[in-house]
Amino acid sequence: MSRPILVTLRALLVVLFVGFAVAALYAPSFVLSVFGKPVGLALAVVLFAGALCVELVLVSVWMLVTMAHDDSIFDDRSPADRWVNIAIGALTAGAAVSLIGLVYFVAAQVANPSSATVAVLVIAAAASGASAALALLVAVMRRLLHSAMQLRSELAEVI
Amino acid sequence: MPIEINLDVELAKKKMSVTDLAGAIGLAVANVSILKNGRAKAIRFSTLDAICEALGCQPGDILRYVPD
Repeated sequence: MSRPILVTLRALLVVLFVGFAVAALYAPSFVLSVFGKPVGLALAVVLFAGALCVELVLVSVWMLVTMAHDDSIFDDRSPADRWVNIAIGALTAGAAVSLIGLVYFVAAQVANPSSATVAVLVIAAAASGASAALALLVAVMRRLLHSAMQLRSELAEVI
Repeated sequence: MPIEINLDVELAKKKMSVTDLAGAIGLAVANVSILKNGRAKAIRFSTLDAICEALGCQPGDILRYVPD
């Protein structure tokens, strides 16, 4: 991996990490003041949990990028597998949280229709779908990682 | 493994040690020892090439098929 790509990627990860940390801190009180008690509270919880999941994924990506740069990602004993599993877990949790939020917002919309809740509903659906799709994609890439690890260790035995 | 590597005879013919052979073919002594002790799982053609050149022999002289 070339130096400029690594530096750019790490800078981007730091910016995203700080951005989501700030969002996790300030967004809940903001949506609470905009939407009011029942819907706003649920949205605040969903946003906070979602931001935590994103932070976990970002940390995993940082660790995997470091390993890819050191060329140690395909080593037999590399902890790459653990970080990939953490990323898959965080993405799945994010999808689940968004889905629970979606169900709650649909119920809130049926009970008390408002155009603001419709926007929240659409965003929750999109977040849930995107998160689930990413989790599946990373699960496929984990399979690729495993076969690459196996091929690397087999090739290391060739004299 | 039914395929065996027999470096001993050819090394003795040339009066070479494992270290000499390793130096001649540019391989780590540890790897040549693995070959000599029959613990190798696979060998590159380029390695076989270099061994045959250094020992002045054919691949058949160092490789043998022994049914289990």
